[in-house]
Formats: sequence, C-alpha cells, structure tokens
Amino acid sequence: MQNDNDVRDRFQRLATEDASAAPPFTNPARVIRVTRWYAPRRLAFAGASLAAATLMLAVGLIWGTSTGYASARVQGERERSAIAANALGVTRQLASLRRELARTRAGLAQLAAVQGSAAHTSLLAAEAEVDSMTANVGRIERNVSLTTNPTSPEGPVFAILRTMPVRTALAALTCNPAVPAPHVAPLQKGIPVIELPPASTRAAATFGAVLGIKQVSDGKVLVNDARRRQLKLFDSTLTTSSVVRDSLPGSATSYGRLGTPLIPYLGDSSLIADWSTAQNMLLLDGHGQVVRAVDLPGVGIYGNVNSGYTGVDTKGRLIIRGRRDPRGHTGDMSYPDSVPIIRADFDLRRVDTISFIRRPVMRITTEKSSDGHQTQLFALDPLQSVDEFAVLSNGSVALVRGHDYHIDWVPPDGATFGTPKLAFDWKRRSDDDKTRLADSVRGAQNALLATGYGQAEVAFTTGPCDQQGPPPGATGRSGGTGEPGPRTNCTRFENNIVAAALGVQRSPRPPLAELTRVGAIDDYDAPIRPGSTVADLDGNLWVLPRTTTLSKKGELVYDVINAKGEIFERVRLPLGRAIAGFARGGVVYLTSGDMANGFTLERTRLTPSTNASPK
Amino acid sequence: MTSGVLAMTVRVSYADAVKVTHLQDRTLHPSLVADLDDELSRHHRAAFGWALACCRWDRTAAEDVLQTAYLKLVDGRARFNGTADFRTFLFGVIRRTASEERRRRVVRATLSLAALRRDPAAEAVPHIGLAPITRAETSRELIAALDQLPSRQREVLHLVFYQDLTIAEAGQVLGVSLGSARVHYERGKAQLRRLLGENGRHAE
Repeated sequence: MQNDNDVRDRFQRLATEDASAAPPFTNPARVIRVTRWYAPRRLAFAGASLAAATLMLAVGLIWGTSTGYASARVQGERERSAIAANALGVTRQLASLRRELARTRAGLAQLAAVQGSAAHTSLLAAEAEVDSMTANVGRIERNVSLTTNPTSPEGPVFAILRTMPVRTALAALTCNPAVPAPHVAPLQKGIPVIELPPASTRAAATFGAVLGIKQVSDGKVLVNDARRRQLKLFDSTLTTSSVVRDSLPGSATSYGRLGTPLIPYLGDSSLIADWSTAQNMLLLDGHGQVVRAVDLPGVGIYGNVNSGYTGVDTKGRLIIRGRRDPRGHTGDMSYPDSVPIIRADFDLRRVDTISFIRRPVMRITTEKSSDGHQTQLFALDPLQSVDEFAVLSNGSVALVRGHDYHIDWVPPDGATFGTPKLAFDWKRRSDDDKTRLADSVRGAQNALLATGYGQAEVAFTTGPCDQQGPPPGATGRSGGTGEPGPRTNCTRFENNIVAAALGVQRSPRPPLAELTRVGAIDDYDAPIRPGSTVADLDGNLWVLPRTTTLSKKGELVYDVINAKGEIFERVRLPLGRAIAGFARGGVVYLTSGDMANGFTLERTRLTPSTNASPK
Repeated sequence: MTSGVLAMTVRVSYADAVKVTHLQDRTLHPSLVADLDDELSRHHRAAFGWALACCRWDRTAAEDVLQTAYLKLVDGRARFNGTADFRTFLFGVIRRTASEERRRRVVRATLSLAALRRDPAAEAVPHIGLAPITRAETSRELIAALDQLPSRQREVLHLVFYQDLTIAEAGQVLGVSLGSARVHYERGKAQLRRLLGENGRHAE
C-alpha cells in the first residue's frame, strides 16, 4: 500500500505539472462555427449557386444569340429592301443606257454606210467602245440582280449569322447531336487524263499468268509465267524467247513445284523462290541464271516474301507484308484488322516492323465432318476499307490509307510523314445505302450457307490422304510427316475460283456457323481495294481507285502520284488491259486475255510528265 | 405536479439533461451545448492529461486530439447516453480519437510517401521539445518507465493513479472487462516498480 502511494505520488506530481501546462479551455461550439463551412447545407448552397449561374449563362447566351440574330435579320431585310429600291432605279437607268447604246450603234452603222471605207478604222474603234460599254452594263445588271435576289448564292448580308459557331454549338448541345461533316477532298481539278498509247510491241507467245517482269539493261526482258511455272527471257522486241527455268522437274533449271512471283531486285538482278530447298531465295542475273542462293533473314517470312506483295528499297532491303496471326479459340478464330509491314535487311540479318496497314477482320470457322475431314472457311467483310502499300524506286514506302485516301510515307532513312488527302470522287453512303449493303452481304452469306459454301474463295480440307493426285481445281497440296511411305494426314488447299473457272462442281459442304459482319460500315465508299497499288520505276506511285467517272467503256484509270503525294496525272489504260510491270523511262508492260486462252504481253511507253517525281 | 414544475426550472447537469431529453438527432440543443461546455471546462485539465498519455506525451498531438474529441461531442458524432460517468465517457472518446489520429498519421505518411520528402537535416536533430527539460526529475523517470510499458498497462495505471479512477472505471474507458483491467493494473504496477527501481540504480 505504501508502494502504491509512492507511485500515486509520482503520478500526481506529473498531473500537477501537466495541469499547469494545460492549454486554456476553448469553447468547441465557437470552433465549430468556424470550421463548419464544409457542412452539407453550405455545399448544397454552393452547388445550387453554381447551377443557377450556369443556367443563367446558358439562357443569356441562347437569348442573346437569338435576339442578336433576329435583329441582324431585320437589319438585313431593311438593307435588302433599300438595295432593291435602289436596284430598281439602277435597272431603269441601265435600260435607258442600253437604248442609248443601241441608237449609237445604229448611228455608227449609218456613218459607215455614208463615209465608206475611209473612216472604217475609227468606226470600228467606236463600235468596240460601244461593245465594251454594253458588256459593262450587262455585268452591272447581273450584280444588281444577284444582290436583290434573296435566293442568290451569296445570300443576304447577315446570312453568316446563321452559321454562328456559338449558335451552332448550342443547337448541337441542346437540340440534336451534331453530325460532323467529314472533310471530303473535292475531285482535284486540272489533273490531266492521259491516254496510254497503244502497244508498240507485242509478245508473240501467250502466258498462263504473268507474275513479275524484269527489263534488264540490255533491253532483254525476263517474264515470269507463274501459272505455267516458266521463266522466259525475251529479246528487246519480245519476239524470240528462251526458257531459262522450266516446270520440268529434276533438272538444275527446274522452276519448282509452285508458281511464285519474280521480285525485281537491285540492278539487273531478280529474286525468285526456290521451293526445292528450305526457305531459300535464288538471286538471278539479267539473263535469268542463278548467281547464288540467298538465305532470308529472320524466321517465318519465306511465305510472306513470296506472297506477291514484296518490294525492294534502294538498299536492297525487302519490304514485305507481314503475317497476322489469328486470335481466338479453335473453331471460332479471327485475324486482327491490321497487318505489319516489315523490312528484311540482308546485310544486318535483321527484320523490323516499319508500319501497319489495315485489312478487314477475317473470321475463320471450322467444322469437322463425320468422315474425319476438317474444313476451315475464311470469310472477310467486303465493306471495310483497306490500306495498301508499294515501294517506290527511290526507296520510300508509300502506305495508301483507304479510309481517307492519303499516303503515309516511310523513307529509307527517316521518320514517317503523311501527305494531304488525295482527290477522289467520294460517294457518301446514306443509312439506306448501308442497310442495303448490309442486307446484300447478308444475302450473299445466306446463299453461301444454303449451298454449303460452294463458291467460297478458299478452303483448307484436312483429312486422310487419298493417295491420288490433287483434285481438279486444287492449286496445291501439302502435309504429311516427311517420312517415306504413304501419308496418313493431308491438308488440301482448294481454290474454288479456279475450280469454278474449270467448271468443277464440288459437293456442297455442310453449313457452318453463320457469318457475321465485324464493325460498322464506313460512311463513304472505300477509295481503293486490295492489290490496287503499284510503283513504276520512275519514282511514281500508281493507284487504281475503286470508282472513277473517267472510264469510258470500262478502261482502268490510274491515279499517278509523285513522291510529294500529289496526283499529277491520271492514266487511262487501253480497254481490257492491266498493268503487268514497268521499266525505266515510262515503259509500261500490259497484259490482256483470260485464263482459258492465255494472256498476251504488250509494251508501250508513256511520255514522262513534268510533274512526275524527279529521277 | 408541483415537483415536476420545480424540476423543470432547476438547472440540471449535462448528463442528466441527456438522460431526460433522449435526443434523436445529432445536433444538441443550445442549452445542452452550454451545459456541455461547462462539463468540458470542468474536466479539461484531466482530459488534457489523459490526452497526453494517449499521445505519448506529445503536447501538440494531445491538443489536437483533445480539440477533435470536443468537436465530436458537440456535433453529435460522439453521443453520451448517460449510462456511465461523463468523465469516463469523455476519456473513452479521447482514447478513440487518439487511436484514430495515430492511424490517420500512419496512413498519411504511407500514402504521401513521407519518406521521400524527409529532410535529412531535420532528422539529424530529433525534435524533443522543451517538456522533458522543464519536467521534474521524478516525472521524467516516471514517463520514461511508462514508455516501456505496454499500452494497456500504461493506460490503466494512468487512469488509476493519475486520474483517480477505479479499476472498474478504467476498464470502462479502455473497453475491457474488470478482470482484464485488474490484470493489466497488477502487471503494469509490478513492471513499473521494477523499472523505476532499475532507473534508480542506474541513476545511482
């Protein structure tokens, strides 16, 4: 107990010290009055004040705008009335002046008859003066009528108030959502339309399908017939030719088992795929002879290089449309809406992505039949705009954007930049048009469904190998384990377009899942379609617009664009011709014909324009 | 009837008034606010001492806690229902407020990344204030010993010896049972004696 008292004493001394140091008591109610500014009632009052101020401001704006516009309109009416009154007097005076001029002209005619040819020069001068005055009178009358006519294009003086930004913005906020008017580049005026001259030279032979032309420095021409799997070397007149690589297998000059594009490379050289070895390219000289095999940098670009979309820049780097991998789970996958553009450097052995281009989302539906066959259907939306690219002879990569028809440029060494939109005759799609297009696509899809996709573009069929050759219409065949002996699992690549051309009718496949559109339909018709860009060897880009009013009987009319991104001319091809390739100096190779009878090759020359890209 | 009229005219204490009125809203009647002021001013020094103990003798923090506790009482966030002694209730409010302030400081220090804004020069000289210097030697020893005790034991001892509360009332303030309060009291007292003895030997 004594110890407790000792402890208590210590605490009490401490309490005494604390009490002496305690701050004076402050009435908390007074503190509350100071600190309660944030009370909900005050906050509500502040909010209400703010709302009232905003409302008053809006009302004032609308009211002031309306009254301002109304008073301006009244003022405009008065001004127009005054002008009309004045114009009436002016018109009368002008009519009187006209009569005077007519009398003067008649007097001059009488004078001419009386004085003869001696005064003919002075009479002509006087008559010219009268004509000038008559023209001035006519212009004045036209101006007066335009000023007084309320429906004239110039409109009343205060018509500009009808498009006041504030009023428009308020109307957009309060009445209805503003519909932004897209900036549509008008059809560029003054662009000459050039008729491509008729062919000066025509090859005697026909081709299955020309997929690459290389005109070398001595005038000879390498022509790649991908369908017949032949590489021919023509003389400069295209009359005689020799087959430098043939479809016959087993020789050193065998073309290979698949048709493949010829890629014009630096100088007189070219690149072509060597399908007999694994992922190698063959470097050909100007006569089509193999110089050496080239191993591609990177992995997995072999198929992309030989897809027909490959260009070469000035440093010998390949510009390739890359691969897009499907997303989703098996059975319902789709490809993304963009494709990378990649650049493969042989020297640095490096592959990098330089940009992306837009491609429609492509959906893949898969179904496995009861007999073990698995069918995949690749379907894309035809109403989505696409981008295209080409490599110009100066090494720049032109990325043609399909949604607004402008070009993004990727120089060989430099930063990407864009050029203004190109002129195009835009066709706006109304809501009815969109509905009609969507219904049309849906109808086509339903037709495919009903016929089991008989007209589907591409189908891969995987199943047991039948140990027979490829069926009619099939363009390729792959699969198997690579081991000797019969293969047990085959993937067949069937192109139904070819099958349809050959008259092959396949048994209808079972309907797959319903195809659906992806994304909204654009407000305007797309200006380009896939595969519509090509670069000549003079530094210009040729773009085939989707629609044009310049085609007379169905000829193709190209927009020719220089390196500054300007359309400097439009070239109308002869009817039934398509571009097969270019050579320097405006040389254009054209093909014509069809799959059944073969294609012919022609050559013509286009006179270079002064606005073309500098060489 | 007469006694009822007389009762209405007699000025009642704040606690009794609360018992009578059974306020439903959170705001106090002005007359009750006046009564509350009287009660708080009467217990102000004791409350400040308790706030000091809850804040580990940090005077600035104790003043803040005390003022916040007063505000809670006035604006109705802390309501006295009259079932306990007002001083016990007030001490409980102060203790909870001190705990809230402590947690809030920790959270603020964490969220505001106070470590990144720490001034090395200020850290080199710890801020101890004038209180340790001005206090008596025995008080300094007592505070040093209390600082080494667990918080429960320290609080029980403070309430019993400093504020002259019973162990049961101390338990009410701390929100623990009588048995727990008694255990904390006994253990704390023994520990405090030991610490004070050790300090004395060291002092010698």
